[in-house]
Amino acid sequence: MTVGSQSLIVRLLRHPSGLVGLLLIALAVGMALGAGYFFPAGPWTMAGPPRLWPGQNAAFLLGTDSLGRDLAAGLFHGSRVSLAVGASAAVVSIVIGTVVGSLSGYYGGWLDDVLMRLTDAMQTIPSFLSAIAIVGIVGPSLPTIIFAIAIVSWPMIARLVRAEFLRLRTYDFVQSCRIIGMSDIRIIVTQILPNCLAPIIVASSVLVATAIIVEASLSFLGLGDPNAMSWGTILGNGRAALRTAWYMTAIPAAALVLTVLALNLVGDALNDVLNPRLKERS
Amino acid sequence: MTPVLQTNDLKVHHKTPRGMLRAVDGVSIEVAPGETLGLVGESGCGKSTLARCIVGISRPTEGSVSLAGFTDDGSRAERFRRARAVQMVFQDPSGSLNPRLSVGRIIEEPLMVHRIGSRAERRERVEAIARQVGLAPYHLERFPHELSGGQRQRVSIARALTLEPGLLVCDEAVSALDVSVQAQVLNLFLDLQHRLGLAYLFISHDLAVVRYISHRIAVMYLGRIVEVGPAEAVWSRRNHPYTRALVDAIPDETIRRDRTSLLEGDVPSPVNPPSGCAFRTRCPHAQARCADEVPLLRDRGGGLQVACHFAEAIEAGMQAGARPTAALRVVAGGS
Amino acid sequence: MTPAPEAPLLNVNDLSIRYGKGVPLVEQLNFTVRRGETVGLVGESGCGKSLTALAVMGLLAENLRTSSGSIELEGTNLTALGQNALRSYRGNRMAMIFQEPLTALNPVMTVGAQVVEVLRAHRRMGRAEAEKRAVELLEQVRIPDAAERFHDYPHRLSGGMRQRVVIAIAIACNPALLIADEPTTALDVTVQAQILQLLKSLQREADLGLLLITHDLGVVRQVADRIVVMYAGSVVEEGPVDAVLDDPRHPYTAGLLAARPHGSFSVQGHRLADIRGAVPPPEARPGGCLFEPRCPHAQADCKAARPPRGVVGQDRAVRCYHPVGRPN
Repeated sequence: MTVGSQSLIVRLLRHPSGLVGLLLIALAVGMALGAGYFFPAGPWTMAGPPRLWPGQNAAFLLGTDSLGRDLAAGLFHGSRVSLAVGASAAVVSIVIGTVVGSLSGYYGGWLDDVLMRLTDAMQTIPSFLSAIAIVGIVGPSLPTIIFAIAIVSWPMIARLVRAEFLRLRTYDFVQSCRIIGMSDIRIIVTQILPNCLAPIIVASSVLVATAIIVEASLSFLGLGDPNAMSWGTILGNGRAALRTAWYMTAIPAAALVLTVLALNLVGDALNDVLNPRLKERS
Repeated sequence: MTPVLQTNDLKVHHKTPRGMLRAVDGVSIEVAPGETLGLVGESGCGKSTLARCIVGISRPTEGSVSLAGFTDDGSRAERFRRARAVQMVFQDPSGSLNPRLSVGRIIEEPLMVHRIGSRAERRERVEAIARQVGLAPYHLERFPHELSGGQRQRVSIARALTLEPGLLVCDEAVSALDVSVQAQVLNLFLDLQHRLGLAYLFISHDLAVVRYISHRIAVMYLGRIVEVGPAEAVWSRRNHPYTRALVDAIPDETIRRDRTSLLEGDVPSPVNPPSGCAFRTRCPHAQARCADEVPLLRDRGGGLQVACHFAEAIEAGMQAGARPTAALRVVAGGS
Repeated sequence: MTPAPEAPLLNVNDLSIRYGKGVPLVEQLNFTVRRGETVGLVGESGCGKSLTALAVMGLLAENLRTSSGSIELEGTNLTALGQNALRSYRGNRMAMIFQEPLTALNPVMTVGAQVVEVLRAHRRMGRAEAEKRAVELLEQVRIPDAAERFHDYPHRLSGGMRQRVVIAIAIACNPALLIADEPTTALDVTVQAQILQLLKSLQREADLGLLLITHDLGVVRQVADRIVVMYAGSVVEEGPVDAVLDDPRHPYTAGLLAARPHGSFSVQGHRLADIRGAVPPPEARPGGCLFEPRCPHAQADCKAARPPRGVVGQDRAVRCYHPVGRPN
């Protein structure tokens, strides 16, 4: 995707927040990709003595948890789960939100009224509690968790997309497409949507961050997928030993904080890069 | 010959909380093939709403639109047929082109939508049209923001020509352009008319531009046509008091004039327009009859039609050199 | 037009405006406005006329600066003043009205309150006194039922009425200089005529200096005493309005006049004389005469350097090596 004469990635890298954010995310992604290489045994293997502090033993740089599992292995494999859940939930939520927002904004009238009341209703439900409820009812598994997070996050995207559509549908180039006989769906998908990408992209970084936190919270409470070890799971496991072996919670917490921070930094940078007019005016 | 456009008592009325908005209130106009009908009026006169009905993006409340002989019902099914009969060129060069598409793609799009020709054939056609409007082949790879206002307007015109419509509706198509660029684009319009036999419905608030480019002129006020006829006749005779006020208000660059008789008050709102003649609240010649009876367009000779009860007397008075009688005070909102 | 033995009210001297260290957007601008005189600053988009107005008012965006030259108002160099000092001039000794009245007024304040606001900002006035004066001002700009309109919000007024309110705010503190940037471009032509007439009579009543910025030569002819024609950031011609428009010396001025539509094509069959090419962006301006690439009379020496300002008649000047028109 090119914005002006330089590609988006290049411009992000030149932005200070963008640079830091992208590096941190690259680190997390690197961990996810390299997990199988560095820790082929997986995170569940009880590899060593329990409750080893970081640095105590050269083989376990980040220490081990109460069951002797390598925390570094947990961190690397956990990043796969956290990032995958975060990204998938964001994608699903963007798809739902975009469909609702575009139809609402383009057609207006009763369709807009109905869809917006639905969106209002979804937003009044406390998101985390409903995620807990859904996972509690359907059962904890990765797909359910992804679905539960997406269900509570799409209203924000819907409003954003609707606002963009309300603005863009009055533009003459859209009218011109109607006059040449283009069908509504084609106009929505090929003409207006590509011009809405900027706010969606900016919002998506926040979405991914939120999704990661919700997943971590669910896992922390023991409602996560029991077959998947995510950073939240490690956090939850370390809870019992919080007073004595606090590194077991600190390490996954640090990973979460840094990743969410990175996503927010990238979001800020994306905003500056994709909305240059706002910056010039100030 | 069948006119490329014929509207029949077209009306567009909206109910608003403040009353009935009569945007278009009984408009019957005709455009012959290869002819330019200029449409002038100020804000609120309904010319843009009328344009939208003609190109099919708004539905009239009453009345009908005929394009090249077939009565257009404004439905989705007819949209292809309509698209090949009439196209539109817009005012704002920046908002009228999709910023994410290349110029070539923008011009090609109508052919793609109508599935005309193979990819190579479409490409050829796009290049031919681009040449016709004065764009070079390398412009086709550019994006709208890389072009000047005049060039963007040429792209709009090229896109409107791809389906070979008989009528082009130009809605303030040169109003946002600098004077020197405006001249280029007006020359282009005339060129294309000569070469392709295009007809134009040329909408503008700038009477000097309309007078230059049109064969016939229609003057619109609060949803109704108040005067229509050959361009020179409308300009020189200015029979309707509103036409006269419009012409008088144009700042003349050729000579300084001392204008004492200015039209007072604001353009009233099309919501709840005045009874009878809509112009009577600002007209220096208004009488009792003007409030009771809506004046219809009447033949005044030489192809000129005027909607005014006192058109004959006013024209005779003007020729005798009389000044308009004392103007009425402004009545805001026009009741 | 008043005779001018005194110093000019506004003296723009060799003014250049640029982005930081970049190319100049406006270069070496020179013109004056006297009390009681209307100067029409004319040019097409990108010529720098609006930038010049903003520079006089001290309202340039942060990344723009006046890199050289001076702007003197009643003898004081405005470019040497800081923002605090400038604030006491703005709205007080000099005022500006813009093109779009809707965005010039605060939508959540009544129009009366906005006039009162400027009065109390620059004058020590009690609330009651300011309100009374505000109603007087609204009447002065010919707003009917001024006392009632005082309590209206901007969206309830028509475009012409809003522009009158904007003018009332501008003249509230009796400025010596009024700058009007395309004040009637967004208005209907019948309303435009009223507003121009209002500006003229206000100017006469208060002996204002009026700097009228517009692209419309007709407006300049009807309202201005002197005309200053700008092209690509420089003044190319200046002089009394009638003299310049009847007999232009610079090919660009002549081109602008010839490009205006007149008569009827279907009757006379004449094409419009357009100026080929387009205005160069600031980064791509030629090194010699700015207009040379588009000039039908260009000669070899026009490419060499910017033409100097040459006097061509009574109170007239032009920047051209080979002026057109009747030599005097």
